[in-house]
Amino acid sequence: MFCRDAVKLVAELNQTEDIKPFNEAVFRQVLEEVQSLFEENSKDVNTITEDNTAPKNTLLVRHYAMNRNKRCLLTYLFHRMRRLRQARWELGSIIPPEISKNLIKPEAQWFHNYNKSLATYMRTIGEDGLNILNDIQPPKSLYIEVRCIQDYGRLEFDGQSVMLKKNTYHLLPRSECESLIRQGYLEHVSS
Amino acid sequence: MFVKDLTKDFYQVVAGKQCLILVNFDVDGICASKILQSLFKNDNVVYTLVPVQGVKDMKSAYDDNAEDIEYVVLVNCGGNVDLIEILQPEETVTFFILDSHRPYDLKNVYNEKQIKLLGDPTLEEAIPEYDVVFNDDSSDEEDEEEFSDNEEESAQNRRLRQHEARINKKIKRREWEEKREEALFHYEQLSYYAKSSAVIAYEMSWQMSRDNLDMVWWAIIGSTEQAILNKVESSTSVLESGNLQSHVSRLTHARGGNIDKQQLSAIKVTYDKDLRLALYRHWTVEDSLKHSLPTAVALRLWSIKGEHRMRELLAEMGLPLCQSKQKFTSMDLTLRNEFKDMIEKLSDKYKIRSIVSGDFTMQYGYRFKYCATDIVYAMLAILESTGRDRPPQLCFLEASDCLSRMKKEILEKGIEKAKIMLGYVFKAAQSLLELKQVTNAGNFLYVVISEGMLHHHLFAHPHMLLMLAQFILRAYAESTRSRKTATLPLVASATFSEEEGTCLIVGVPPVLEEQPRSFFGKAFSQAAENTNSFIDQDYFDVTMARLKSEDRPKFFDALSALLQ
Amino acid sequence: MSLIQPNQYFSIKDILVTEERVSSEVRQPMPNLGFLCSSSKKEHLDPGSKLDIPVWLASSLSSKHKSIVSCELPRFYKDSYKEILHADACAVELNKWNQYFYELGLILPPIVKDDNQQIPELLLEVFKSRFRLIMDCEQSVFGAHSIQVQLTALEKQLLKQGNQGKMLLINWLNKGVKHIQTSDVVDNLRKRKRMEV
Repeated sequence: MFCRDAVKLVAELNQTEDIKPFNEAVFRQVLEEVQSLFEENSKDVNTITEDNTAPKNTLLVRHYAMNRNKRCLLTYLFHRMRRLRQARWELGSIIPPEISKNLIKPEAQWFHNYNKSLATYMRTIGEDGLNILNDIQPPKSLYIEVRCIQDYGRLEFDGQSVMLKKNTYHLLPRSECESLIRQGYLEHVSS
Repeated sequence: MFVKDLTKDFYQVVAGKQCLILVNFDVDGICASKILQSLFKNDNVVYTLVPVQGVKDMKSAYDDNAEDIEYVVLVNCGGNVDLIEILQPEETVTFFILDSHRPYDLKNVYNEKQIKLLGDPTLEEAIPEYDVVFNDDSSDEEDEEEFSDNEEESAQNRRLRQHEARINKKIKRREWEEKREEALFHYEQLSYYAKSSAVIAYEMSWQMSRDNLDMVWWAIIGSTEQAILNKVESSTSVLESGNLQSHVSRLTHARGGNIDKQQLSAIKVTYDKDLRLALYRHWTVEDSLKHSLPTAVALRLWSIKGEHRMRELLAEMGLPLCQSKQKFTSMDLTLRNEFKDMIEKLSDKYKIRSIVSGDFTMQYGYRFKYCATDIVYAMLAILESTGRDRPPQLCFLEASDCLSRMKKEILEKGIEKAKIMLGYVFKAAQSLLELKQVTNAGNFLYVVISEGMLHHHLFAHPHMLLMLAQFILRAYAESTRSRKTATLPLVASATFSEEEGTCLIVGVPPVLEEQPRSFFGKAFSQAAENTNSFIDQDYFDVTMARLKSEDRPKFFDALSALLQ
Repeated sequence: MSLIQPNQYFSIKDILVTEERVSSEVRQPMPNLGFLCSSSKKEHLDPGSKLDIPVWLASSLSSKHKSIVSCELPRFYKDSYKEILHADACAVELNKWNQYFYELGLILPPIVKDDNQQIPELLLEVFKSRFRLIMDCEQSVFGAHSIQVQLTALEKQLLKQGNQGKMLLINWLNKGVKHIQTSDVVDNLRKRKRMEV
């Protein structure tokens, strides 16, 4: 049956919410399938005559198969792009190597361009620009208590600096630690 | 130097600045740090809190975090060690020490610039005068005192007088040094605990009018821990609870409204006469009687006859056996209500001493009602529950969570762990007493938890070993009936780390002594010096130390020689 | 993501649903496609041969004026299975019959003609009875894992959404909305790191 490989790609997307390594092998196979379907169709087109209209059906079948392949490929690319965009909002402008090694060059290029667009947009808001990635939930207090779960090193802000080592507790301004919490270095401790 | 007015000289100095807080691993320290944390949070003081287990931990934590920090607060640590020498801080750093360990190291007391001890100096006992301990005069140098008035004096006379002067100075210096040694010896001989740090922190917040029932509750837990672990005499803890009770009633009245009609969902702290049976509301009556110090010791429940005696007691109380094996909360209502009174009445007959005492209970909402001793046991159990994937700092965080009213599940887990912990203590004590492993070394008793014993690795934790030691001492004193054993202290030892070959030793003062002052701190270090053994007095409580297991026998010999 | 909204181009769910097989009969000859039918060894597909084709192909080939193939409802929408469902829909392991029971039931009627099976009513009835089961499961902690084997993909998604809603409500009631959470992406990364280690 046609399009088995293409559905494999989509099923891989369905398995987890992560960005897995780009499945180049299967992608190429699908492209080849599309190519071979097209060639066969172009051969069969010439055999259609007034009497022999049967090949039309085959042509139709192959045509639908090609469209289906195209749909699967596009879905694959689309969802990877979506997840990459979410990673930008969660993790900041630098993606950890676990994710970036799974991207192909066009995807990395897209990410870079997205960053640029986002930065340009943020700069145009207000006077100095506004970092819209902060405060995704409305804050309730200026300072929050956090616990450090991974060594981070020195955090400097506002003329003060704090050393973040594993298993220490701190009271820090909310704006500074929000991104670190989202990246997993700190943990917000509720009292 | 001492700081009496905590608000002005401590809090307002630190407010708005950045500071580092180092906290010891004990319940009192956690309560005090919780009070400080909530005050700092409301004042937006940027702080870094690091839990430390011993002096080495303190030094490494200080080194890691000390850049750019001007104020360091030490809770229940650092008071009895020479801070400046250990930490080698910069000139600009100020240390605030809130420690209940005594005696304070004299260098800390007399350091005017960098070290501030939070507390009232008039309450401190017998600190030697500055001149007795420190010799500031530049009279070390040879005095080229010019007796130049009398130029006419012959050179020889002058030399003679200078020589005399030098000899006099040397004699005086030796006398001074002898006096100093004596004064230091007397001062540092006994180690003990003073007022709970949590209570001091609470009083500071009261002075600032920023106290609330939560903080009073934490202060109560801090001072209850001192009572449970016998760190202070019972009279002191009773006075303290009176003091805290007055704060509680003031705050409850300040909330306004009729107390009786107050909603059940608000916090309520009450002070009641209560039984000193550990965790009896969360356990079965039998277990609670077995594992609590007063009853276990009086009825000698580690032996089979003891079991009979307990059944007698229960029968006299009118408590059927099947009920006593159920959880307390599932017993019949009438039996539950009468339980307290019956125990009180029968305590005389069975010679159970001091079973009734006052205790605080906190009630919050419909399902949250715990008394202070329960929470202390839960926190102790959690602090000691370190394991492979539970680093000490995680245990610290969980114990600290026990204090918050929102985290009831952690408190429940802690109570379960506490039951297990008390069970192990009892079983270990039972086996040690049955096998008669408590050895009398003449002037003191000692017991060694060997590696063959069940769960011996649990006793590598200081608090558990301390509780075991106290239990064994009282049980042994009760069982041997000899007057002399009641005056003997006890040293307990357990393997700390098998790979390194170290063991943990803990010293407990004798039963008869009213004031729980222990001379073991000095005794340990002296004995180690005498036998050239490697001793690591890393803990802030100087009655606990780590020793190399191979040195243990000769260490004990040296100790008995010392205590003659 | 919408629960059931057919014909969304990029929807992963749609693609997987339309991949399901449906048995059909060829009505018009299709030369050179004999390899699709695994039983016969012929080179061409002649009318009358039966084969299983996926829904995406079936729906395009059996539209009104073309009728190149004619399709049949899968057996679990028919008589004996219908009786089982009428008896007790909750005890059935719908997952084993078909992962996408509901979605197929919605897509198939335009494709499969001349059927008096009344699929929409059947679907509604089954869903109503199983929905109660899911709601109970989602409220309690215990049943969740055991019944997940029986649920179709749609029901699993409902269960997950129900759980999430419940957790959100509990969090809001307890602590208010002030917590900053570590992102899910980081959590997944960390889980994978732990597994690799």
